[in-house]
Amino acid sequence: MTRTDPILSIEGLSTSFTGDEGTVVAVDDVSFDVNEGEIVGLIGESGSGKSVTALGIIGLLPKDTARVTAKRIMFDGRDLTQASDRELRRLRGGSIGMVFQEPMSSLNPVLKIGDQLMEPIRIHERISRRAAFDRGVELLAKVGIPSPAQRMNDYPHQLSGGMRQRVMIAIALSCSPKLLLADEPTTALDVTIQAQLLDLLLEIQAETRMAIVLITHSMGVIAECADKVVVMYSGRIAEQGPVTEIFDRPGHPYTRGLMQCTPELTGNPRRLTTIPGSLPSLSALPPGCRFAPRCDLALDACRTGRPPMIGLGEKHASACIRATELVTRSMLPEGAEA
Amino acid sequence: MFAYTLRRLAQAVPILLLVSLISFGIMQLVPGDPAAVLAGPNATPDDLIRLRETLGLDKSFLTQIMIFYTNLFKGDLGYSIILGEPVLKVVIERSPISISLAIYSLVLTIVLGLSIGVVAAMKHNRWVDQIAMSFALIGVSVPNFWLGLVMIVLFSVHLGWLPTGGYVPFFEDPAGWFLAATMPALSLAMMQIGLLARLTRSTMLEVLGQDYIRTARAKGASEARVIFKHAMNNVLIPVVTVLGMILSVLLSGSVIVETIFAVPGIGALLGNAILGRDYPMIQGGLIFVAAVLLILNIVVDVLYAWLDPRVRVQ
Amino acid sequence: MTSLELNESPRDASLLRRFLNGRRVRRLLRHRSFMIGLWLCVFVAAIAILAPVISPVDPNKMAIRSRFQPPSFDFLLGTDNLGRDLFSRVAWGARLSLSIGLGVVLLNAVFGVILGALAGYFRRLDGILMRLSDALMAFPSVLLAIGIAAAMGASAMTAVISLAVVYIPRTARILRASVLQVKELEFVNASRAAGAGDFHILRRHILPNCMAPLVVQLSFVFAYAILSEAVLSFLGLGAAPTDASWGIMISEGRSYIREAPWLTIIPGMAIAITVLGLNLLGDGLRDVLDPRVKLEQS
Repeated sequence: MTRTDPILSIEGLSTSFTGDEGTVVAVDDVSFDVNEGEIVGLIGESGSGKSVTALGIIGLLPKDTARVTAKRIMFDGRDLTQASDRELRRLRGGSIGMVFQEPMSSLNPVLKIGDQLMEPIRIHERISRRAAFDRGVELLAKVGIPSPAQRMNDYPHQLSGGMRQRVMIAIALSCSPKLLLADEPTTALDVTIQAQLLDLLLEIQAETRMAIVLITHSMGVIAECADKVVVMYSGRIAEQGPVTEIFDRPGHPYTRGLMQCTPELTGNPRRLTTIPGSLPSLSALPPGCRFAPRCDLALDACRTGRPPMIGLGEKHASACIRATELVTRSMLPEGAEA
Repeated sequence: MFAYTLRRLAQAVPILLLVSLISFGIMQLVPGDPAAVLAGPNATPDDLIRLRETLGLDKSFLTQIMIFYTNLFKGDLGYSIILGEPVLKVVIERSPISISLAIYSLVLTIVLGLSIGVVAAMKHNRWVDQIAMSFALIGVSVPNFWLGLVMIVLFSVHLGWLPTGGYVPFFEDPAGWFLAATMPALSLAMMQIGLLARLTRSTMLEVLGQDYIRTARAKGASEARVIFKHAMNNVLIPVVTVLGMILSVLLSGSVIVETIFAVPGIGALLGNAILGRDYPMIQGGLIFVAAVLLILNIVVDVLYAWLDPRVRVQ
Repeated sequence: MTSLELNESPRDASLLRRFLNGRRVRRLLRHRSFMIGLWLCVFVAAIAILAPVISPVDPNKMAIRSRFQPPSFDFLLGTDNLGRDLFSRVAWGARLSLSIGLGVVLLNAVFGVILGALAGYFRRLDGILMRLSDALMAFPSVLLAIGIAAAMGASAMTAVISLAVVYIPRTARILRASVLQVKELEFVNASRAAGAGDFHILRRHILPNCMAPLVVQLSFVFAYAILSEAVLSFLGLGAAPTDASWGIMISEGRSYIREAPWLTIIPGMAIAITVLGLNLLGDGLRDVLDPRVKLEQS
């Protein structure tokens, strides 16, 4: 396989929100790459800034309160930080598709499924209504919706949550995007339907080779789908690397915590560990490492200065000053620690 | 939809009966002898007896109610004392004038109220928003009759642009109708413009925060497309529900506004009836206007059900 | 005379404290339109209360020699066709308007709460009370008041009663809706399980949680009542024609609108300022108390 430029390359992305209570920084200096045909899992607790990162990339944050800055956001050879609103609009729904968390509210209640599905096609391609309709039916069939031609004339409230999310996926896929941003696409659904939808996404990805940024808070989903993992904590990247590396040799106490919260991964479904404490408020961030107040490995040095990214292997890096130590320790058999 | 319309019509019947009963009851509030009030100080005892007979006041209370409802079912709303004609006939004669004025101010309300609200929401927290909302707030705070008088001072007395009132039938002279009806329509509409602009703005802001708007943007839809194709329909649904209230305020306002601008519609008819203590006219007029409003509200409800696919498509 | 004092329907000291906790008061004090509205209301209320003190002359004292004086240093707001001082009349008019408005609000608070609570809590009463309110609300609002006032004969009391009849069904509906909502909450069931009687539950648990929408509604009823009262007195159905009333002043000024427009304009502005203040106050209360979203558990 020849080495090519990544399809998406983010360097130094920061996002701040200004509200009544002043300005808070929700995403702080985030950098990662997404290669063609790669599935990158973006994981973190609610409020860690993962959705804001995705929305910020394609200019979907409210303009009056959010401010997005970045050194560079290269997508498909273009720098999105330099792109005009018009150019960004042309990318959205075209080369970059997006699926959101809430299928119940993400579709417009007063428009027919068909109209909502044909809309991006008609926006991005010069194509007749008839042809767009046919493409819509095809897409619905592809995402596994039975009797697709009839569904085109239905309204969202006539469909179940799982079906609506399939429609959202069809909308995102309608213009054959090179990149799909999937923001917790299965979180709001029943467990059985979650698995179906993830399988559907993987199947389509295998066929089209599009890149996917999969936002989730479940290590299980990451283990099942992702090639690469970016772990976010409180607006910063805690650790990133290839999925096998991260699972075998986690280099950040937070990543280890996340893994221990996932019963399928610890192999001990009866004991569910939790990480004590909660995310710090964005308006009262601790100095130094933001995870330090919840970390049982924290040293005094953790509470001063932002921890640098420490390389742990090819493309594997962690923002923990004890990363190397952690990686060596995780080589030890389970139970030798603690 | 058809079944729904029928059901709404059926629900209106008992309300209409109550409405007529209330109108009847209101006239029982007249202190002392209504005949004496009506006949005036110069009436002879014979006059009073005759008047009591024509009004049915010599009968027992129950008989009066019976007669009232019998007449009502026959479409008889009573007899105007001042005009000496059946109330229903006069009211129907005057209706086109009031209807044309009401339609004009309803159009003004919807066009101005909606657009001010939408623009304010799109420029949320900017100076355009502030100005639009100050205007709307003043609109809901200013008495309509006073606004009418101030406009007369400004546009008729000082600038001489518009006539001080009167009425020109639309089909005889559309331009003349337009000139004469603009100030009355505007003073009638002002309060509703304010109400609608405030409601539209807050609804639009709420809708713009919805997930499906983000979806539309994620599809690459332009701002105009987001507002008019995705947001507007969702804004119109709650806005339609206040149309009933808007019509109610409009009909209320017509009494005083028609009086000020000398528009010979139903409002002025009622205004004169009040000044002349023409009780049958007031009672009949109240029933008529309430019935019209009830029917309009049913139309609004059906429109609402039709606009919202969640109600329309079961 | 802020609307805040009007939530006294069920008299219970803890009610007021629970409803106006420190956080809410601080938010209100920071709310710009609420504060503007509050100051406007305080201003108008001060004029109403101090009318006897600040009026240069008796509002009904005629002075034929100084008729139709435009606003000046001698006559702050000018004089009318009978030489009566407009400033004094506007000040006394504030008294009349605010008293009538306050009367309507008090009747609304008492009967709106009683009827709304009964309709919301006792299913058997709901049907009949709601049909009755449907029928009353089928009349165009001010028109019903006009009809009642025309039948009863003009007086300030008539104005209060007729306007109360118009707005009580609307207030009762709002209260009913919140009672229906609160009735389903856990603590109500808990209290019932503990053996509390219906009226105890209504008074101690349900009503305190319905105060926010009520207070917001009452501030708007106050505003509407003042506007509608002006309509009634303009039509000669409100206060006695000799009284200094804003509506009557406009109606009288209308005859001289060409020569002395201030006779019409000034009382109208008095109405607009008062109603504007109340509307701003109501907006602020609604923003802060936000009856739609927030339903604080007691």
